[in-house]
Amino acid sequence: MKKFLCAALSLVMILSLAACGGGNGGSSSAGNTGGSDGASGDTIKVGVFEAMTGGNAAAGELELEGFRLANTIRPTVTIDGVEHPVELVVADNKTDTVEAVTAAASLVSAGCVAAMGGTGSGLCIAAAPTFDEAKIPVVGTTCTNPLVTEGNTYYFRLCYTDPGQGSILATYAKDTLGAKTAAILCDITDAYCIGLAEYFKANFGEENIVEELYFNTGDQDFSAALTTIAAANPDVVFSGSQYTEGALMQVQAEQQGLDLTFLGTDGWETETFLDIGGSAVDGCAFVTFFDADADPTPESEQYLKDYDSVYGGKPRSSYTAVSYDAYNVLLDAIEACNSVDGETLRDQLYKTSKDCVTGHIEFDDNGDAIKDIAYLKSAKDGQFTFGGIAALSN
Amino acid sequence: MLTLVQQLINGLTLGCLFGLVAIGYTMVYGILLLINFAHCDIFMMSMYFAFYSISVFYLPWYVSLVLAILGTALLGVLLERVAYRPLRTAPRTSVLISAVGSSYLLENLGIVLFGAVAKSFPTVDYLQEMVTIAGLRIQRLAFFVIITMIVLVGALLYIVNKTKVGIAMRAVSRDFETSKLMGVNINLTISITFAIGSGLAAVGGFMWGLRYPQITPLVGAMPGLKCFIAAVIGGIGSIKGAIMGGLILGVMEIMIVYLFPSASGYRDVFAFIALILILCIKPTGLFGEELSDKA
Repeated sequence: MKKFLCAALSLVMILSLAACGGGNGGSSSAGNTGGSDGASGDTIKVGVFEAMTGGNAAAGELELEGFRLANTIRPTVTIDGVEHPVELVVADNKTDTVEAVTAAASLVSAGCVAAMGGTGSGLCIAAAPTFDEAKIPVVGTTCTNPLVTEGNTYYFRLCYTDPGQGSILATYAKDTLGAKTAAILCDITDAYCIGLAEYFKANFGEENIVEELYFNTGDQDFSAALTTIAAANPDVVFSGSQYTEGALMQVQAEQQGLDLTFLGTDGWETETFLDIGGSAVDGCAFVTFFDADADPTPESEQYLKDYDSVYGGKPRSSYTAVSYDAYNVLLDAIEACNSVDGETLRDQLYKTSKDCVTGHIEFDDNGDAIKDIAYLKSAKDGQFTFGGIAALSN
Repeated sequence: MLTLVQQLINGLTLGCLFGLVAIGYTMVYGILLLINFAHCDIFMMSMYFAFYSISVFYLPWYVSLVLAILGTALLGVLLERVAYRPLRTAPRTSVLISAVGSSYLLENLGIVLFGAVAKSFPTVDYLQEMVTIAGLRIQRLAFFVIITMIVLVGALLYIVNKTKVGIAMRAVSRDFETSKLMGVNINLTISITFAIGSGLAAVGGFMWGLRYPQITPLVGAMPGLKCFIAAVIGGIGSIKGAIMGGLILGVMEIMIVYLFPSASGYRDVFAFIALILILCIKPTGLFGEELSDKA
């Protein structure tokens, strides 16, 4: 009995170590699913820097879906006439700023020529210096805080930035909803949320903010904050939060019978948000990168077709579109400069001018995509609904 | 005024949940002098048990609650059997390390079995309905939480103080060797302690899930720490202390957010400050005795 127990326990130990190992060192090979027909060159490794566990895991998974989709459709890259298969190397940043640095380092040591990704600006800000030092260009996806690219010459970004997102939300609250007063409930441990709250406040008018409260990532109880906010009776509540906390606070507002209108962040656009939120998130509003229901462009039609052929159905989130774009922008740049040298590739990325699924993409001196539109989204009956296109005034 | 009362109810509900889980810490500590760090993960597992029996097997919520209690109690007993009993005679530090290890094991097992992405805990319409009392809109769940806690703690105090099992528990917590000599079945008594503690964590987990309907394999971590703090504030080893500690911590957390909105981002900090203060000023806690016994 004792021996058996011993054996069983050690087995369990090994299993749990394996479970940790998946994220810890953080580089498991994935992708290269497409056939490598005609690909004769060496494999080109491209890093995927994403949250596979922790609070951002659902968003990370969605972005990975986009990378894999693009990798399946376009499995090789041609350099000097030689076709090289592209392999995606996934590193899990565990939604943790310390782990983010480790994950970035693991991509560097795995020999990646470039990397992509990042939901959660705080994680990308933490990892950016590591990539910079190793001279590995990164095509950022949905990390919206200005600090991700500022000062980091190797970090590019496809999405709009927080000042843009904040101003759209403030304008939407004032003009469309006719709100006069607002309350802010913001995650104080998330750089992305704090930044967004600041931009919202600046655009909405600081004097119109009636109540301002904070919480930490991973908090579950918002009852006290919500009761306080409801007592101040604001027209809208700006919730600087990711999807779990965002959904939980709306559920609790409904539990308490509070009639509050929530404005949120692009971090909300996951199925988990709808699952947890249920009917409580009906009528919320946030800004996002892409909407399958918006007027189609040739690129978006192609993307929707690709998605349908690989996964079937409609994309679950706009994140997938951004990461799909990131892969193609990166491969285009590699093919245009015929090199995987970090510096050459970076200089080529600055020259990008490409019509993508999420709009036309050109980078400014910071490495930020110059965007002029964003999509408004809401939720109703367990579905995200298209709320129109808003102009960005960066 | 209405806001204050509403906040008090928020605090009491949170405090009751803390208290229910804190009992598990306190009982195990009382009997084994071990801080069972895996308790928060047992709490997490109970939520998944309930989640699967409702969402996958479509059982009514009260059946699921019973199943979750039984499953979790079994898990607690199993944990004690494989992780703590073989170390019964080992130095206390070894058992503590084993507890931390079990905690990580359960969390990672959860990630492998259930996935890291948050799942939505099912809702129970009856408990989610609102009741209006004197202008206050309160969810039935809040009453359910408070009443359940009172009933369960009453039953527990009865078991510990009046029944044979309870006498055995108290004897074991006082003196291991002597009670063994007196014919108390030590292993059985300890197993029962773990079963009760884990069962209460399951009740706490179920109601936690209803109130905060989001579960991940790491969902137990922060509540677990808070409940541990609650147990220490009340005096670890004392059941009444665990409940009082839970209520104090719950109401304190809510009141900090209410009275000092600008400090609301630091509510966790206050919980840990409370832990440090109590350890410095009154290490035995508010209700603990120098030689702590049950209740």
